[in-house]
This record gives sequence, C-alpha cells and structure tokens, in this order.
Amino acid sequence: MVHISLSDDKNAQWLLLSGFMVSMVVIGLAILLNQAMISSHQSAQAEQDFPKHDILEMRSETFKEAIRLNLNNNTNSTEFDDTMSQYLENLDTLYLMHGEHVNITVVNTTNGTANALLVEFIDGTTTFSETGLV
Amino acid sequence: MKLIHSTDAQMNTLEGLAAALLMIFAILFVSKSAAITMPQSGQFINSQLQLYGHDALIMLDQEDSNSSSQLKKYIAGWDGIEAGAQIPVSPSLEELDNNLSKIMPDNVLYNVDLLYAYDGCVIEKPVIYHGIPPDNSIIVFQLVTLYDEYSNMSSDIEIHKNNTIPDTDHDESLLYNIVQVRCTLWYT
Repeated sequence: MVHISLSDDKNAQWLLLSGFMVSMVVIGLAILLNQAMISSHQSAQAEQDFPKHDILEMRSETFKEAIRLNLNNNTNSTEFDDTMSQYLENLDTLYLMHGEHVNITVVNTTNGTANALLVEFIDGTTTFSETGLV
Repeated sequence: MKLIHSTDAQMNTLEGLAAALLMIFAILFVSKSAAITMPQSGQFINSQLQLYGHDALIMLDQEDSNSSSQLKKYIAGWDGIEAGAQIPVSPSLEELDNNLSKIMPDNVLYNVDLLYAYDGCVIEKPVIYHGIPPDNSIIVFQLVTLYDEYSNMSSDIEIHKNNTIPDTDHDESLLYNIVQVRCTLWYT
C-alpha cells in the first residue's frame, strides 16, 4: 500500500494569495486613477464647449437694446420692428461665422401696449429659447 | 563571530524592488493610455484667460442712466486706421488699449479686432495688435450696438468721420450696425 504524505508547508499558498491580493489592489487603484482623470477632463471640456457666453451676450444685448428702443418715446412701432429686423439680420450674420444660428421674433402681448421678444439660439448641440417682455 | 549563511534578505529586497517596479509601470501605463497628462491644468489656464477677457470687456461696456458704455464710445470714435506690425494700436483707440492693459495681468497679451456684418458678409478689422497669438490663445467677444448718428437713439455717441464701419440702413431702421469686439488673449 502506497502512503502519500501531503506537506504541511503553506508558504507557496501564501505567496500566491498575497500576489493575487497585490495585483487586485494595483488594478483597482489604476481604474480609479483612470476614471478620475477622464471624468475631470470631460467635465472641464464640457464646460468649455458649452456656448454660455455666446448665449448670454446675445440674450443680454438683444433685450437691453429692445428695452431701450421701447422706452424711447420718440420711437414708433414701425421703427421698432424695422430696427429689430435689421438687428437680427446683422446679429445672425455675425453668429453664423461661429456656426451658430440666432433668431429674434417680435411677439405682441395680449394688451397690445407692450412687446415681447422671443430669442432663439441653435448651434447643432445646444438649443436655447426665451420669451421676455421689453 | 559567525555569519549566518542565508539569502533570504536579498530575496526579500529583490521582491520589494520588483513589486515597486510593477506598481510604477502599472500607473504609468494607465496614465499614458488615457492620453491625457494632467488635463485640468490646460483647461484651468483657458478658463482663467476667458475670465480675464470677459471681465475686462464687461467692465468697459458698463453703462448707467447718465452715461453710455465706454466701449461703445471707443468703437464709435474709431478713426478707421487698422493695426498691424507697423501700427500696433489704432491712434484713436490708445485709451482703450491703456485701459485693457491696466485691467489685464502683466503676463497676458491681447489683440483686439472689430467684426461687423455688411451685405451678408462679416468684415474683420484689427485695431490693437500685440503680436501673433499662439495656438493656445483664447477668444472672447462683446457685442456693441450703434445707432444712426442723428437718430433719437444715438444719445451722446458720435461716430468718427473716418470710421469705416458702414451703416446698414434699410426701411425705417434706426440701427447703424452691430460690432463684435473680439479680444484674443494669451500668456506671454
């Protein structure tokens, strides 16, 4: 009868297990680092790509000038409409150079005494529209 | 004195070295595979330049009930002389250049161009030139609306007689033109 004796030495198992643990830790750290770098890059890039200033500038300048025109007692409604139409034509030409399209529509309010403006901005990715009293 | 003949210490040292190298290479491999080396630093610089430019133009474009925007006065008062390597600043816009240089930090350079629409095209005129901007320069802009000189909307703004920005009149429009004041900024 053959008697097989198993060794009690567990050194090899410990080495294998510790190697496995270390590799898992390294992989985990590497994934964390990778994700952190990519996510920070993407968030910063998204913030840069968003045409925040283009929209804000278009919106603020348009409403500012429309309110100024409307408040001027010497400006009649024909002058207001023609000026805003010319304003839109020039503004759209300037924005088209950046690949952006803007549109301004004069909307009469229900009481007929004040005007509202609908301003729209489209650049293929971002769409913005707002109606405001002037 | 008896020295113990054992190579365990050497083996442990070599193991530690190998483990350290493995970890260093793993981190290097991951950082290279993302093809980005500290992306935040470049984005931060861009955002900082954008802020400088926007803030400077917004400050100059402030207006109240008593006075018009200073930026609008500068643009209306432009004498039509274009800037370039020979003439860094259009003579009528030296005050604008002085104000911008006071606002900007010393290590930031800038060019200023005026862009306006005419007959369906965009015309670009350089008015302040401080050099050729590098690839990592930043562009910001501010819109300025000019009205016909003697219309009831012109207020105290006078358009310089040599100003080459054209009047885009039609029908009963009071608009003279919209000018995009474009500022290109970069670090020296």
